[in-house]
This record gives sequence, C-alpha cells and structure tokens, in this order.
Amino acid sequence: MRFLLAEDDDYLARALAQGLGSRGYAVDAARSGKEAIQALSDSEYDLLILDLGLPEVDGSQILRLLRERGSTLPVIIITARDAVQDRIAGLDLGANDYLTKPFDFGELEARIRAILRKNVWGNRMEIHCGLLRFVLNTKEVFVGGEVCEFTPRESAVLEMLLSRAGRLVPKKALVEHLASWEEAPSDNAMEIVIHRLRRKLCTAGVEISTVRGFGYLLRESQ
Amino acid sequence: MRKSIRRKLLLWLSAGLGVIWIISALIGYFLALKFSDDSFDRELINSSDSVAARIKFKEGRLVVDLPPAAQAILRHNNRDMFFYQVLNADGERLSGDKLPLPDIAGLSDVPSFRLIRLPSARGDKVHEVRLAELKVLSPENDGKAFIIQVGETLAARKQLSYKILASIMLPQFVTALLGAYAVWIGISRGLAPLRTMQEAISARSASDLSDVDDSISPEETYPLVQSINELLARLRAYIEAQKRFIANASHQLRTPLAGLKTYSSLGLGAESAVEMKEVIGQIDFGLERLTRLVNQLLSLARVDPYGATALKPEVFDVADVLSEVLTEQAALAAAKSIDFGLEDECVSYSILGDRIGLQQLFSNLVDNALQYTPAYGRVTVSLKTFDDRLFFAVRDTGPGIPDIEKEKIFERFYRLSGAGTSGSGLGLSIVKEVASTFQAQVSIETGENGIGTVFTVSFPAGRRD
Repeated sequence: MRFLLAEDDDYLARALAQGLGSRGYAVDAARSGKEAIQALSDSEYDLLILDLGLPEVDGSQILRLLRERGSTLPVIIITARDAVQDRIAGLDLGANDYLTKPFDFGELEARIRAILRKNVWGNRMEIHCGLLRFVLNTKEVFVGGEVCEFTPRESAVLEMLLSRAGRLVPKKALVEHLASWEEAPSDNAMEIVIHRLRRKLCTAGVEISTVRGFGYLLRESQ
Repeated sequence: MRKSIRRKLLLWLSAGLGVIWIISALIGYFLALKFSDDSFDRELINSSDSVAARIKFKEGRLVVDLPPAAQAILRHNNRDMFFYQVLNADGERLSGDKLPLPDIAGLSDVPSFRLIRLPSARGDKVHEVRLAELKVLSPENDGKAFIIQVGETLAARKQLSYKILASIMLPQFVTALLGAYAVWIGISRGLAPLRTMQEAISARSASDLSDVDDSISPEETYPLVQSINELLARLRAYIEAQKRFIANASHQLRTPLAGLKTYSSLGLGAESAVEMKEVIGQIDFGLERLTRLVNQLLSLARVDPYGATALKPEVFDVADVLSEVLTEQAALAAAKSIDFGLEDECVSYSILGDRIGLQQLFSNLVDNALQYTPAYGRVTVSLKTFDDRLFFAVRDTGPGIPDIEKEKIFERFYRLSGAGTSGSGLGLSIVKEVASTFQAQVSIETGENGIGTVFTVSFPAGRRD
C-alpha cells in the first residue's frame, strides 16, 4: 500500500513515515500543498494523510481539488484544529476520517486499516484463499492453521495480490504501490519477492502465475 | 455610605429652599407688620381725636369729659390697656393718666408715634406702650394749644403679628416640602435611564462584550457610555488577541506533540536496543524543540503588550547583555564552523528598559543568523552609535529572505517556506515586541552583493558612557 503524507512539520512527517514504513506501508512525504498536488498527479496512491495547515496550498483546498477531479482516493485528515465545526467541515469536504493532533499512532494505524478494509476488502477482516488465511489487522498469514512468517515487503505484495485475487495485477502497479520515493524496488527485486512468496506458499493451495512482461495473478490452485 | 447624586441634590436644594423660605417669610412678615401697625396707629389717632373732642371749658377751666364708659369705647380690644393724657402747651397735666412728657417743641397737629416703657400701677410690671402724641388748638379759638397723648399696650398687635407670621410661614413651608418632593421625584425620573442601563449591563453574560446601547443614554451620561464602549472595544481587541494567541499556541504545540507521540509508540514497539536508541534520540530531539517552543511562547507572553506580567525597566549596559548572548551562542557557531565576530566601539551604552527582553532580542537574532547560515559561513554582530541612535546589527551569509516575505516574517508562527530548521516561528515576533518596548525599529536588508541578510535594530538615544 502506498500512501502520500502531506505534512509540513518535518519532525512529525519523519516520525509518521518511519512508523508507517515499519508496518509495511510505502510512504511519500510532501512538505507543502504544491508538493502534495504534484505528487497526487504523478503517482497513484492508496491513501492520503492530509494536514490542513499546509503552506502554499491549504489542505482543505487540496481535498476540494481532489474531489472535484472525481478522485475516490481515501483521505484521513490530521490537524490541530479540533473544533467540532472543523471536523464537520473536513468530513463534508470529502475526507474519510479526521484525527486531531496529537493523536495516538496506534489509532492512526487502526483508522488506516479500517479505511483500507472497507475500500479494498469490503469490510472483511480476513481473506481466505485455498488453505491460506490472511488476517488483515495483524498481517498474519496462516497456512492450514500454521503461522507463516513473512517480511513486511512480502506481506505487502501478498496483500496486494490477495486484494485482487483472480485478477491480473500489473507489475508496474505492484511496484508503484509498494515503493516510496526513497527506495524504489526494481522489477528484479519484485521478482525475487514473488519467488520467495511462491516458495513459502507452496503448501497453501494458492498459485501465483506470471504473465511475462506484464504482471502477476494469484488464485486458488485448481 | 456611597455618595448619592439624589441625596446631594436634595440636600443642596433643601438648603436653598430653606434659605429662600426664611428670607421670603421675613420680608412678608415685616411688610404685613408695617401695614397692621399703620392700621393700629390709625385707630390710635382716632382715639386721640375722640379725646380732643372731649376737651371742654367749664367755668374757664379746661376739662376732659371722658367717663369710664367712653374710655371703654376708646379701648380697641379687651386685651390691651388704654392710656391718655392731656397737657397744656406748657406741659402741665390737665387730665388723664400719668405719662412721660413729650418733646413739646417737636409736636405738631400731625400725630407722632413712639414706643415707651411704662411701669404698671402696682410697679411690678413694665408695659410696652405705643404712644401717639399731637398738638391740637383749643376749641375756644383763643390761640391756646393742648397736647394730647394716647397710648395702648401691644398685646393685640403682637397677637396679630404672630398670626401673620404663621399665615406666611406655614403655606411657604408646605410649598417648600412639596418642592423638595417634586425634586425627589424629578431626580428619580431623571436617573431612570441610568437604572435601565445598569439593568441592561447587569443582565449581560460575562462573555458579552458588545457595545452598551447609547441611544437611551441622556446627554449627561453620554460621555460615560462612550468611555465604557471604548473600554469594551479595547477589551474585545485584547481578548481577541489572546484568543488568537492561544489558538496559535495550541496549534503549534499539537504538531510536535503528535510527532513525539508517534515516536513513543514506535519506541514501545521497538524490538532491538539499537532501534530503541534511535527512537529515544528522536524523542530527545523533539522534546528539545518543544522546550524551545514553550520557552519562546512564554517569553512572548512576557513582552506581549497585553500580557499580564509587567516588565520591570532598569538601567543596564547593552554591551554587557550582548557579550552574554555571544558567549552563549559561540558554541553553536563553533559547531558549524561559522566565522563568528563582533564589531563594536569597546564602550558601554546605558539604556533603560527590560534587560531580559533585550537579551531575548539579541539571542533570537544571533541564533537565527547562526541557524540559517550554512556551515563555514560568516555571521557578524555589530553595536555602534550614529546620530544619537544606537544600532545593533547582525549580518549573515545565509540563504537570504525573499522581498515578499520580509514583512511576513515578523508575524507570529510565520516560517519561511522551505526552511527546514526547527524554528518555532516566534523568534522574530519576540524581537519585534521587545523592540517596541524600547521604541526601537527593526529593519531587514539583503546583505552585501545580494548574499545573506542584515537585521538592524535602531534604539533611540543610546547613551555612551
């Protein structure tokens, strides 16, 4: 999952990027409204974490712009403005959630999970595919009742493939969704991740097939 | 007891009314007394005429035929005693009671009046007697003249005078009382708008600082209402400024707190000592930044013109304060290998004002210069007098400030776009506020050859010692 974090405070942005990065999300940080708008038109994101008090272009303007363009990108507002009217205004502008600073990082994570669960998984808590069971909150993977260990990146790729199980996931999209600006995994790195996933899931009753030069497809073994 | 306009007015009016009452009563009394005296005197003349009519010659002797029955008629009332005496032109008594002799030469046929004191017959009392005296010619036409004296005691006159006095004083007293009552009512009516206003103000909630309605105020209290409204306006501005400040401050504190909370969550989930150490390092950095922000907020509250704490002006040496600041900042300059220097005239300058404030002003400007100047840059501080003013300047070789931002940087919480440092956006606000307490001006210029920035603070009347 790739997020855009629009926050002008360097310290908070670093903290959030580090925290979300350690949970397997790829985070790009924009320090101003202009940077955020640029990033939104350049790349595809799964979530926007938006501070309202941004320099140059205000956060609420970005949100308005986004919704005017018809974007369905989920947005969580993080702001120091805690008045009820501000919350109402923020949500009515099209935000999916509203967190007041200082918030608990665990709560932010839970809200991110809730939004993704709804958007990507239709509010399911677990994904079943063959013998594989993927618990969304904890990112734990069980194969026939046994816990299966994955690195954050493996888990992120698996999550992405599971979210579109039975459909082709273009390699480009996969790379984009898993990479932040800092560390863009190459196609080769992606192939290595897919290779490891196949090996770890050989008993899980799922198979990941490659459409050469285009992408991957995960489905229940026939 | 609190001073009361109503009581005071009433007191003054009552005193005035009282004096008027007494004066007018006295005037009325004396006028009435004169008229009544005149009428009593006329009756006395009548009596003297009656006595004159009773003078007869019998056998060559002059007699006054005034039997007691006639005397009783001459008495005008039964409270007063009546006296008469007839004398010949030489002053010999011919008839009547014994009365003191008149000034015979001064008498004429026009009666003259005087007041005498007459001992009573038994000698135990003294009567006051009004005496009419006149000279009449003999009825025989023999050229002789007589002197007639008639007198009466004053009981009836006095009684009448008391009646007159009472009949004047009582109605006037009632009039004065009614006047005082009318004044009382009038004042109450007159003060009614004040009460309405007072009720309107009491009924307000503490947060209602809108203007008092001046349309109901009478002309006399209009200036008061206006003053109150001006005070309210100042209060509104003050509260507005405080609200803005608090909103800004809370906003500015929330973001670093959010960062700290995030790092502390990461620390709780850290799996290795190395990871933990890194997070604690970040928390430490965040706390340092937050501490600085809080300190700056507090010092801003200190120099805030609306602030609760009063500044304590003292006379001190500017050069002393500057050297303290430079000593403090030297470590940062050394850490960034910045060429850090001072140009001054090696003298001291006395100034009157808030010492700590000035220290913060110097410290903020020097710190800013050192923060924004890249490593191996140059920061020069100078303190000089020119044209009776004291100039403090800091020149740096930092990235400079774009012209369009030069005004904005003094606004609270404003931060240069793209400035990656951990500033609070308050430093220059503090500089500006402190400068204003010294009546000093702050100006920004671009440095020599378009490199860096020069901040100059110009103090009035910097005295060289």
